[in-house]
Parts: sequence; structure tokens; C-alpha cells
Amino acid sequence: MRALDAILCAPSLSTVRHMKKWFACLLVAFAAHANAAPSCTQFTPNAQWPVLTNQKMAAKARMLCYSDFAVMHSGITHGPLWSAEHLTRDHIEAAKDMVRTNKFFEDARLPDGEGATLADYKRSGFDRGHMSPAGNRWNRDAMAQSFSLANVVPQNRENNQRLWARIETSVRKIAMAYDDTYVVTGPMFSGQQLQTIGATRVFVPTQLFKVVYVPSRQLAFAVVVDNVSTNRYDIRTIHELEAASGIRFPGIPENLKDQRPGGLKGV
Amino acid sequence: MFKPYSNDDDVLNIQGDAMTVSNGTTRVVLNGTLELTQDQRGLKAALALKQAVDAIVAALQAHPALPAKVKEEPDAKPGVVDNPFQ
Repeated sequence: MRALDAILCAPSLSTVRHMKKWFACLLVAFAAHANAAPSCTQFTPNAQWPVLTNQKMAAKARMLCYSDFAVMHSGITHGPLWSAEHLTRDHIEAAKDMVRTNKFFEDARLPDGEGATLADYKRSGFDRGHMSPAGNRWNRDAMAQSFSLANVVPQNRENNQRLWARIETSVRKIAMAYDDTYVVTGPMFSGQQLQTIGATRVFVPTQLFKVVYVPSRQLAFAVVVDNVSTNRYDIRTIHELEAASGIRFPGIPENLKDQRPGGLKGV
Repeated sequence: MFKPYSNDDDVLNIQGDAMTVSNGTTRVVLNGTLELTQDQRGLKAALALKQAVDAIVAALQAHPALPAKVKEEPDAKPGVVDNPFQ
């Protein structure tokens, strides 16, 4: 798979406890590189990652594994193309208790010029909008890692703080109700021209999506919002989102990809 | 440790991201809804919020020449690129 030209493991944020995991991760990365299979597949259903079907998006796409989510990063947009996570009731319960001071950071695993910089976002007028949210992270390392600029996009402030926060809360409620839930969140870039921020020219998404899959309920759907100050969200089928986003979700069974639930509770 | 007005990159998360206190060199922004239940979880969150607000007040009071109103710096104008994914 051409898009997976790099498989990078989670940075070790604390030392001793994570050394073992870090080495294991490196080994997996080398092994995976040989047969082009990605690591950290526990965050995606049936161990099948989303696939970039729009080949123009595959250039400079690199996968980054973090301790409880994974990102496909683009050196073209200078941000994530998707961010995947696996939510459980226990993890959401733990996440609700988290108190931590975090810091946005540039992921050192990305080659120079591919990632966004902290300076790009400064006085950009946009929020650093998390794709896999900080509020779903169930331990301190995972929460810290979610502040990687590889996991954020320039997001309209009001959108991030209001509508998007309610959508994230609603997805947490789904995971609390049904336990095992797979979520993929990402930006969409539509139209002939795009806005950028900063010297790196980080692309500003035109829309954001969330794909939600609950195996136990045979439930799968997508939420799409425009990246503007709005209270409107649209529920899409997975097939509709695959067509609009240029990303296919092979981990979700085909027979579930035409559902369109009515809406999200509390949004 | 959350040091108000010391940088633009810290975020204090309380109860996951139910409430965030985002640091900034000219402003600190509080966002969200916190449910302070009458239990240990509520106390933990209330203390975190109190510490943050106490630190904000202390930093403002310690400022040698606190202006009546901070000077607003305008946002940078966004750039434009042709969409390479079309």
C-alpha cells in the first residue's frame, strides 16, 4: 500500500515504564515495513485501516501510531487525513476523571516541512481542533499525545467550542451505552481553492467528518459539519461519506454502509 | 503546572475535556460545562478549577502595569492554495 510509506510508533513520554513498549513498537515497525502492514491495528475494526481512494491524497501520507489512537498524516495538508480510535465504556469512564495540563506539540517523527508548527496556528484565527479528542483519552500519556499537531486541524472557533463539542459528547454517550465503538474523525477539502494558515500553509478543511461504528448494534453512520460557525450537522451513510471524502472504510461491513439514523442525542 | 499568560500552547483539561482552560500570552480562555457533583470527583474538578483561577488572579495582580484593556492584535489573513485533491 503506497500510502503507508512510513509506520511510526508512539513517542515515549515517560521513561522506564515505556521503554519496553517503545522497543516492542520499533520491532513491530520494522516487521510491518517489510510486509507493508501497519501496527497499532487495535484501534480500527477488523484490523483494517481506512484506505485513501483519492490517489492525490496518498502523496506524503504517513501513519503515526499513538498510545490509544492512530493518525494518517499528510505532508500536503500539513495535518491529519484521518484519526482513528477505539472507545470502550471503561476507557470513557476513566477519561471523564482526567485532570491534566497538556501542551500542543510538533511530532518529531515527521520529516521537516511535513507537519504544522505551533507558529502556524498563532494568531491564525482558528482553533487547534482535535480529531481524536483529548476527552476520550483514558490515561495521561494518551491525553498528552492527543495534543500532537498531527492530530489537529484549523477549526472554526465557535464550531469547535459548541457544535463539535456536543457531537464529541454524543459519541461518548454511544460508547458508554454500547461499549466497543470505533470512531474515525477527519477533515474534508472541497472546492477549487482552499484557505491556509501560517508559513507552512496548513490547509483549512472545508468540512469535518466523524465515522461511528458500533459492531454490537450493527450500527454505522457518519456525521458531517461545515468548518464554519454553525449549529447544523448532517447524518450521512458510510457509502455517502466514502464518496465525498475519498476515504474508504473496509473495517466496516458493506451491508451496514447504507444506514442513516435520525440524528444524535443532545446535539 | 498551568502558568497563566506564560505561553500559547498549554491547555488544562478538567474532567476530560468537559472544561478546558487554554493558556495564551494575552488571554486565558475557559470553555465548557463542568458538573461539580457532591463527591470526590466533583471535589477534584473544583480544586483544579480553583487552582487555575487563583493562578490567573495572582498573575494579573502581580502584573507591574496592568492596562485597562489589552491591545488586540488582529488575526493574520489566511492564504489561498489551489486544491490539489480535486
